[in-house]
Amino acid sequence: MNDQITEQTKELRKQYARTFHNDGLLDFFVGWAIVSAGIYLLTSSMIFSFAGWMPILLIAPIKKYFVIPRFGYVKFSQSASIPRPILIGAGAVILIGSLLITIIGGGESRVPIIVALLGLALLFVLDKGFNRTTVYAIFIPLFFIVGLGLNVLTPALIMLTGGVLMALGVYLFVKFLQKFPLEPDKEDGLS
Amino acid sequence: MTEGHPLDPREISDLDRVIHSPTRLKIMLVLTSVEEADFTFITHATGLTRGNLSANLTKLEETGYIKIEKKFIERVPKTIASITPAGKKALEDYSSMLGPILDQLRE
Repeated sequence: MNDQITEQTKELRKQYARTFHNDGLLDFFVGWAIVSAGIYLLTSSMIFSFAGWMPILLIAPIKKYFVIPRFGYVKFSQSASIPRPILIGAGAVILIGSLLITIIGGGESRVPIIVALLGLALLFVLDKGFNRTTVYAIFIPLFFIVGLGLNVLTPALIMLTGGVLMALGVYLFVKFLQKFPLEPDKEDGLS
Repeated sequence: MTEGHPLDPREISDLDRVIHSPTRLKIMLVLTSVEEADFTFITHATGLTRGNLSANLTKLEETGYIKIEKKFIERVPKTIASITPAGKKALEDYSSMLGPILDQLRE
């Protein structure tokens, strides 16, 4: 493939990937995870230490039922993705690891949350490699490490930040549904 | 046609007419950018109507430039299109042939 076509196709691929992932789901669930971390710091309730990450499992079914029927199915590149079992396994190790550390530490330590946030954010980047996940992968660990390290991060501020991201997610999701309305199922005329 | 040679109008006739159609060129560019895509995605990406897209996908498939398969994606039947190696080669040849013509017109 000559250079001009390669450049054009790279740009198109990026544009399609951005549109496909501009449904606000990631923003909403990252926002919820941050809100949960804030509630956990406020209440020390271990439920919120993990409840924040569990709904991320809903991204795939929501994509399947709401996003793909509207936007269409597209596979960008096989080589860009980590094999699914490895991804799920790595995510499980991170979650179980942070759970064990929290239990051993008597629920006092904030380290497991930060480690889990960092690990899951990096997994997203490795799997998708698109711009917004890169931003979150950098933003979330910095937000917690710097904020908690400097003692400037209060639970209220954490929850407010998460709330803003959740609102952004809802806004993007509604815009996405408006931009790509569900069309009635018609025959495509191809055998 | 080689770079640096004066434009010979007769060579324009050698352009691949299957790809030269703007509609089919759009489809080819979309499919070159992704590994595979379904009918709905290609409709959005090209802005074509379903009927027009269907007719041109069939033409490209008949030429062997794309492959069309019925697949189950997450248990839902989908019409999936992907570009073939012959399609990639044809697009590359088309670009190589059209590039020098456009360069000479700009001079």
